[in-house]
Amino acid sequence: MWRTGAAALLAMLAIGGIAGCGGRSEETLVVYSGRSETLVAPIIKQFSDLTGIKTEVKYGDTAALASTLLEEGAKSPADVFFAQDPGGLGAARPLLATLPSSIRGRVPEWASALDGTWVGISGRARVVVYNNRVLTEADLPDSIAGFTDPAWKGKIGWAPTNGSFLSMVTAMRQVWGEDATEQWVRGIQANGPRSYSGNTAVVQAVGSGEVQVGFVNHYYLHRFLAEQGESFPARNYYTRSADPGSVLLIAGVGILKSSKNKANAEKFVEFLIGTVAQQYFASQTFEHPLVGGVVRAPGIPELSNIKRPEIDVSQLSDLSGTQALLRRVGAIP
Amino acid sequence: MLFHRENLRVALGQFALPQFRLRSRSVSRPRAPIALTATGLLIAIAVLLPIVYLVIRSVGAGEAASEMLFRARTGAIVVRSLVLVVVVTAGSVAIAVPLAWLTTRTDLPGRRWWVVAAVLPLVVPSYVAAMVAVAALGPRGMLQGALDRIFGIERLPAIYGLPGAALVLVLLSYPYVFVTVRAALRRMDPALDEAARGLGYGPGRTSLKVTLPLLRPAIAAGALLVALYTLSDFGAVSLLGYETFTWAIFIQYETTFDRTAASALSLVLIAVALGILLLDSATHARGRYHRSTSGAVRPVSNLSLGRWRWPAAIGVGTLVTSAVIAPLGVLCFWVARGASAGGVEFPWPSAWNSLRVSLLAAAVSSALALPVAILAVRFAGRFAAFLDRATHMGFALPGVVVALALVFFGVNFAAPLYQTIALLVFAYTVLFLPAASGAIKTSLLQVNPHVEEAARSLGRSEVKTILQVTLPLITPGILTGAAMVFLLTMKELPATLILGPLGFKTLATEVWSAASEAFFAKAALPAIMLVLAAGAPTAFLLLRESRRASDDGEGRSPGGNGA
Amino acid sequence: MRGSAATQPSDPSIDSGLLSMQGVTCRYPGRNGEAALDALDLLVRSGEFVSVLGQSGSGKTTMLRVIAGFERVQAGEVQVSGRVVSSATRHIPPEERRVGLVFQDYALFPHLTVEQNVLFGLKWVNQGERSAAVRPIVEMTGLAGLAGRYVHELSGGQQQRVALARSLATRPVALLLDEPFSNLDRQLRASLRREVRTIVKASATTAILVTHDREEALAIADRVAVMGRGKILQIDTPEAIYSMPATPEVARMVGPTDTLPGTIAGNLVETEAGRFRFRAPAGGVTDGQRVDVVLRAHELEFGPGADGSDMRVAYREFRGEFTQYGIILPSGVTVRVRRRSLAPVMDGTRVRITAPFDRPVLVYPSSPAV
Repeated sequence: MWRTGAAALLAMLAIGGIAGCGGRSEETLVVYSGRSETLVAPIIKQFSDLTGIKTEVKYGDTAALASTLLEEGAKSPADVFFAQDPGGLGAARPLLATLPSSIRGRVPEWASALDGTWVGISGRARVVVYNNRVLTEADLPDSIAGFTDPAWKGKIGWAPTNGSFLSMVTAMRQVWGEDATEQWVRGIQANGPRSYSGNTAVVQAVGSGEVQVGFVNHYYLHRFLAEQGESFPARNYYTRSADPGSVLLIAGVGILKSSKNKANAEKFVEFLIGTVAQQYFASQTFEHPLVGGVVRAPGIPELSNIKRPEIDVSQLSDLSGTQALLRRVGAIP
Repeated sequence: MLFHRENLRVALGQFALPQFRLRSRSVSRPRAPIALTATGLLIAIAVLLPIVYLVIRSVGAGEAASEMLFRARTGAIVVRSLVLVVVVTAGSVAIAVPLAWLTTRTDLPGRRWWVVAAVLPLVVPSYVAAMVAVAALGPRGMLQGALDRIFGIERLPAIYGLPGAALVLVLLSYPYVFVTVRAALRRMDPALDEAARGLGYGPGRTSLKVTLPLLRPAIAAGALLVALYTLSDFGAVSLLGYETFTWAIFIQYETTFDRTAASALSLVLIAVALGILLLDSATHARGRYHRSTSGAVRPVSNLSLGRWRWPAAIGVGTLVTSAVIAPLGVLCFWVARGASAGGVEFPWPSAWNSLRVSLLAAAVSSALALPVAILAVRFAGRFAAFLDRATHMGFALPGVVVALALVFFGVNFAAPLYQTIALLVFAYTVLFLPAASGAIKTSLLQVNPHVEEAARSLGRSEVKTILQVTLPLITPGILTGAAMVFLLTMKELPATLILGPLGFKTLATEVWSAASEAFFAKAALPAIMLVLAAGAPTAFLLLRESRRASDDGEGRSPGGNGA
Repeated sequence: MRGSAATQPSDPSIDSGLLSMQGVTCRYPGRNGEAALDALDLLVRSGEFVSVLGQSGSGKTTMLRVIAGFERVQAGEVQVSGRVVSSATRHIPPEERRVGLVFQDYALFPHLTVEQNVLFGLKWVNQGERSAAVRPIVEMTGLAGLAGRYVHELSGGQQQRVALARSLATRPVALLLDEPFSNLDRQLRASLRREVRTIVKASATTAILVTHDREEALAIADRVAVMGRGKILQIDTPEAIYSMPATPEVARMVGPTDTLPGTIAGNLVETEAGRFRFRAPAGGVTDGQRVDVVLRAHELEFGPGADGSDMRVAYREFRGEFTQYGIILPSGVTVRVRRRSLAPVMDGTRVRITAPFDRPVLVYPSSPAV
């Protein structure tokens, strides 16, 4: 008796499962998003509501999605790839179409691909997060280079395998050159930094006092502050000198060559660089908008107030050299 | 009467002799039915797809990849991985075997509920457990906070590295051993224990000399899963900062987008897993584990723990608290903190999706595990051993590798199935098949093959014998295996993300999505729902099973079988 | 349906219950090529009860499993009811042989009740008639009150009866019993033995019982086959096999014996233990020939020995209906002798062994190597 019941239930589940994923029309815009659902789902929904264009999103890790796109090749169901960092977009570049100049023209050149395959949408600044119960901003060195001072022994937290960290080291290689960068990594290594899996863990460790400073992206702190209140004992420090410690990392978007839905895909990209979406990123995800006319969240400085180093953002997608360097020094496996 | 017979058997030394006698008689290897072998072959092809993919990808491996493979550091990482595997496996066995015995063979208070609670860690995603461990036990974590207030302790020893990773993985993976050992204990003839007691063995020595050796296949089946799971885990080792092989593979994907190097490294992981499998089969005892004496299994009688009853309960309670209740507590704390900061929303559709795909995965995996287990136990030979090992490969590989392999095959050869539930469930099956087949194998080992032969000589064909005799007898094993696949699927992340239909969300992806952006409150609620949603069917299954065992004895099948 | 084909023999001159094995060889892989069955021949007539007596490792269980279809043969032929069921090229699956096998461990289905176990083989009887169909067998085997029980709720003897009833219910052409009493205690074994014979005979089933217990083999069967090294060494009625064992090996297996070397001297055989009348073996013996003399304890007697006698009582065991003595010979060999007399003869007493006039001893041409 219950066997029949179980069989019927399974059949129902199976049919439900297959029926549930059928019926997607050509019109539906398929987005592969390496950016977290928590961050971008509201703004994608707003796009659908405003334009009437249906969207389907596959969320995942940027690197895993880039690998997925590479496996799928020309048969990919995706129209748009919304990536967390230029690395993922760079890996998928052979599959990306050149964007129309109407789109490229609206995003600063330094925040887009030189070959026009992707444009930046929002920026995350690298900062030094510090525990403001034990330190003040005055205690911190002008440049991130200053943390190689033995005075910081045992006080530093980092996430050497994290993509944003690798991007920062890539920026260092561009600005400082290979040797100076290696010197810096060795100097930090000598101070016995505590390794964490990611930015969140570093910020948490700084807040709990496990370490005193950490190299992270700016917005993680703002989430801790939003959830735990202003008493969370950590603050961001944008380096006083224009160095790779304050480099701006870009989340960007590209359109797949294989897309059969390019018109809608372009509408989507245009929407993301429009005022509505840019305002959303500024006030809801605490990121740096890349186009003007947007009000910033409290505590987030204007882009012009950050001393950014002069670098080519699209070159930050070349991470293998950085990885080789870190591996040589022994910072990563 | 029974007492009398037991004495007689002991006197005749029946327990030492029949095993050898039976062995020498049953050396002959019957030929497996064609249908079974053919099914087995199809399963082998299916589960080996990821390896085929890895080979295809590695063919283009450049000098850089091969250079990396032969670096001394790669060797060091292999060693680190193996150290973790050994520590976690030993720790899991050390916890799970006594726990299984206490909850199965003794009058431990509330043992049914302990059983349900003790299985639940299977469903806790390892990155959640690691996050909780860091938050709770970190040098400046919650425990330190409490100790600071009471004793003024300012810093706890760091839990990063091997101790932390091992602790988290042991607490997460001991249920693999617990589940298989418990199933074996429930089906083991209590007369064997009684015989040893009759021969003058105390309860302790009986456990050591009789019960434990008889449990070896069950322990081995569980330990193998623990070892392979440890190899494949990424969440715990990355959060707790212990560099393993899987981590090295992830770095290839994450930072250099180098699928070739990642594939080459994955093949090394496969080689390590194969080594573990070969070691496992080399250490298998050559004895038999089904009862060789007459009659059917009597219901198990429980040993009275006497004055140890409550200390044992406290011990089990401590374990369950640290493995289940503490993580849940931390999650609840996060929910509460988040709720005060903003609203919390129940992700019901994701919960339904989780249940749905997990049930399907459990059903499909059990169905496919059955021929694997029957071939391995009843028709042991080269093909069966090959098939059995092949099914374990998916379990040792990181989910992302299996998922990308199925993207490759799905897009190119099964386009209509790509990004459907069907391919996703197939991926779960490739990943978790050994969890199902292990449990079935263990219970099949305890079915006397003479019972099947009796059915044959009473006019049943091989297939009918399997359906009417073998299946009802191994139902507990099938349900156990299905429950394990169900729990594993509930928390599976990388394959769900990559292979799920567009817009497909489960509780696990909800947790990940929120946790990866440090929205702890948002992550905590689906995590709690995950544990509860997985706990409910597990509780139903286990409680139903133990109720049946207590009112009508062992092994009755539902409805009139064979009628 | 399959059954009806099997019960109609192709050759009407062969009776329908006949089971034959001709030159059957069965080898297990990886045992140095040693055959479990080595060109074995056996013929069982319809309705006959044959017991197979052999030591552990003699191949007797393998033989049953070959007949039942659980082992394949490499050479030779097995026929059931005139149909070839096993040969090097042919293998009829067990379920199509209509041969019932009762296992040493009974192999009852633990998930079924007694009645469901017994009914298990009756798939061709329709639902309503099932209980009726097995009622005679259930009653015959004394299971009438136990139908609803599960097998773990039964005693060993009851489980044995269920196993028997389950096999008989299918009306097999032949019933094979593999050491069916070895898990039972002595008293139960003897009574169940009689009962099984009665039941099998009443159901007119051809039966082969395998055992290592000589008393059981001799008591239950119409004919006894003695097995060793994968062959049938001798097959005959229990009486014939007991009185005229073909070889010393068979003699040893059908009763307790001691073997001494001897020399034929006219119509007597001369041994260390004395001179005895003998029964000539099939090939006959010549005067002065060296032979092996097989002595059976209860076919010998002893009396007071002369002072010079060098045979002495080594030990004495009182067994109730007789007393068994060990008599030590000058060479150190001990010969067992049984006496009915209650008067004990003390250890160390010098004695002389004799054989009664009507009990000639067994002699066999001596095997040089052994």
